[in-house]
Amino acid sequence: MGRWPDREVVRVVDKWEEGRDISSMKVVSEREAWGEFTPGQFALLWIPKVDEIPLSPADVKEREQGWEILFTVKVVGEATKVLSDLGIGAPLGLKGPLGRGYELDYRGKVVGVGGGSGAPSVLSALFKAEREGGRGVLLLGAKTVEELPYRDWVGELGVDVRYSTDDGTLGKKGFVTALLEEMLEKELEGDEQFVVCGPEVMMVAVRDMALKRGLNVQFSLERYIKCGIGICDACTISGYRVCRDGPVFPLSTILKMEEFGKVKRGPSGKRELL
Amino acid sequence: MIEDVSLEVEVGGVRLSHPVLLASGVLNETAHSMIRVVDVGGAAGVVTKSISLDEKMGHRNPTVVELPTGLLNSMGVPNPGMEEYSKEVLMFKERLPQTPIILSLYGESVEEFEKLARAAKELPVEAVEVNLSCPNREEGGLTFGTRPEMVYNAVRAVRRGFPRGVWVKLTAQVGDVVEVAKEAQRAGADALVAINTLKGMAIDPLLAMPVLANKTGGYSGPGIKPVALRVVWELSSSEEIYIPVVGVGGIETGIDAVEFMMAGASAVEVGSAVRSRGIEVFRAIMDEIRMFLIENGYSSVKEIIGLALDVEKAMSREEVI
Ligand SMILES: Cc1cc2nc3c(=O)[nH]c(=O)nc-3n(C[C@H](O)[C@H](O)[C@H](O)COP(=O)(O)OP(=O)(O)OC[C@H]3O[C@@H](n4cnc5c(N)ncnc54)[C@H](O)[C@@H]3O)c2cc1C
Ligand SMILES: Cc1cc2nc3c(=O)[nH]c(=O)nc-3n(C[C@H](O)[C@H](O)[C@H](O)COP(=O)(O)O)c2cc1C
Ligand code: FES
Repeated sequence: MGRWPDREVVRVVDKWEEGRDISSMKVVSEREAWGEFTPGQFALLWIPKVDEIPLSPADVKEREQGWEILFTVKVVGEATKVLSDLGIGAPLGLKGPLGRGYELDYRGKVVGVGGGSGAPSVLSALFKAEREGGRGVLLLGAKTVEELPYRDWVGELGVDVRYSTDDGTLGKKGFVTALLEEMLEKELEGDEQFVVCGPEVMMVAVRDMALKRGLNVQFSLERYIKCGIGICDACTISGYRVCRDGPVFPLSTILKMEEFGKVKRGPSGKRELL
Repeated sequence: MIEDVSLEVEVGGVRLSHPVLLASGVLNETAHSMIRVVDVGGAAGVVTKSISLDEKMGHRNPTVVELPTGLLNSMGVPNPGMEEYSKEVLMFKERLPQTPIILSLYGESVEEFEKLARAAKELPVEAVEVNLSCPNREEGGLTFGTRPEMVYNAVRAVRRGFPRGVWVKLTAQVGDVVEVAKEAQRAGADALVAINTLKGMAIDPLLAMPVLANKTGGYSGPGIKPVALRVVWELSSSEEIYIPVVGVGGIETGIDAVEFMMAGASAVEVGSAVRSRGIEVFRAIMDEIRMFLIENGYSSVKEIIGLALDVEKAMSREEVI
């Protein structure tokens, strides 16, 4: 057998709806690199003839056939739409794991705060904590109940899951940061390790809460990804490459990023105000 | 014993503290990254991303393939356009006023090159690098770089508009690179840069289709080094070319850089090696050049420029015998 290309062709082995415009799917990789997966890392998923986009695995499990990787996709445009409509058996190109994930003591207490397309990244940390004997709390927020993923099966995980919805259709009414604030007020023990991924306005609020209370928080950022290997500069925020130096950054690094919460860049590198 | 050697060089109107520069297209879309490449990475200066008059989105993903011997990319010159990118140049110079920045220009017509040159004149850049060799776009790029008369016209236009260093980046994909280089020189170029990526492609055997969305892309990294070295050697050994040459293509170590300089390069640019050796690659290469010079009894990097051009002379060195 010769050398295989950097992208592995995998197939969708399972797939289901998680909510309105959100679906989850599993693929199986034979590449050993997935054995080293750290929660918070990401993959590049190549949808042939359409695009190649970054997605964070929500979990990676060892199976007889290889590494079973769970993805959750929120439809926001063409690539995510086509991906969501794929049937079982559809081929995809997979590259990864890429970037740097969360650095956590998984036997300790992990609190995940997720919103929108950030939910899978945060969930992957809780899966690992659960497997390694740690304790986990998952705070998930969305506009409305139909946009909350994982409701049907996340109970099996054995972690404490709490929801917030902007319209109050499930869990606490309001933003997920309100849910977090409530938790901080009532039950903060001091040894929590927080991981957060979601819309940047939400992460800005969490940054401010972390500063006020001296919390230990790691942030997973999203920027426009092209090469995914740290050479093209498309994903850079204030000198930090999201694809290589991140996507996960500790609070101390977030504080050095003048562009955090303010500026992102489009595919041309043009600045866009958030 | 601590000896020191001089690493300073001068190329096409630009003075450099050592010969290792950042190549166009790698970590130069943002000022912050270019500053990091200098501050943390140790580069003597930076070439910017190729900039066009108007914003370009670039090609769709997949745009990069990692190969055992380098990279294949079809970025397609994504850039925010000259006006918007000026902000990055100004931010770089504000932080690093002493560090040379060479603005890479990408035009699709002679008029565009002239406008780009005039805009560049107003910016604090030491030189411009005229990209006549990108394999990733239909217009401009290779279409220019493979036709001597078009090279002359484009470089002439830039020369008219820009009063400082004019560097011209060439492709290796021509029958006679010296013919093309002569036209650039005749039009007023101050230096030649060789080479850009080589047009190539990758096929996925299971999907039976090209991997790059653009189908073809530019090949860079260690696999193209022998070709780049040959082009630098041909340009430097030609008696008709008297302007300096900057070598680029597959440079990963100080020894690679030494080989390019012995083939006639006055300085080198490094791109793909940022993937294999990290952002610190520039300082690493500089240190390795210095070590080589010390170990082999040279006192200045200038001494090795073009040493391999005259084989008789090289063989007569006592160290070799
Ligand atoms: C590290 C990382 C992990 C991610 N993980 C997940 C995940 O697990 N689940 C999920 O649903 N989404 C995730 N995303 C977001 C996802 O990549 C984008 O939603 C997707 O690329 C949109 O593609 P599209 O063609 O559907 O949308 P388009 O119509 O192309 O664009 C819609 C918006 O999506 C964003 N986008 C488009 N292309 C890219 C790109 N190449 N890189 C980054 N953002 C892009 C832009 O903000 C754009 O405005 C992640 C993003 C990053 C950076
Ligand atoms: C991702 C990538 C983008 C590039 N973009 C440009 C560009 O915009 N303009 C240009 O003149 N060269 C561009 N190049 C070519 C490099 O500047 C250089 O000539 C080539 O990669 C060979 O050097 P290397 O082997 O050190 O990478 C690009 C190369 C890469 C890998
Ligand atoms: S996507 Fe290319 S540097 Fe991060």
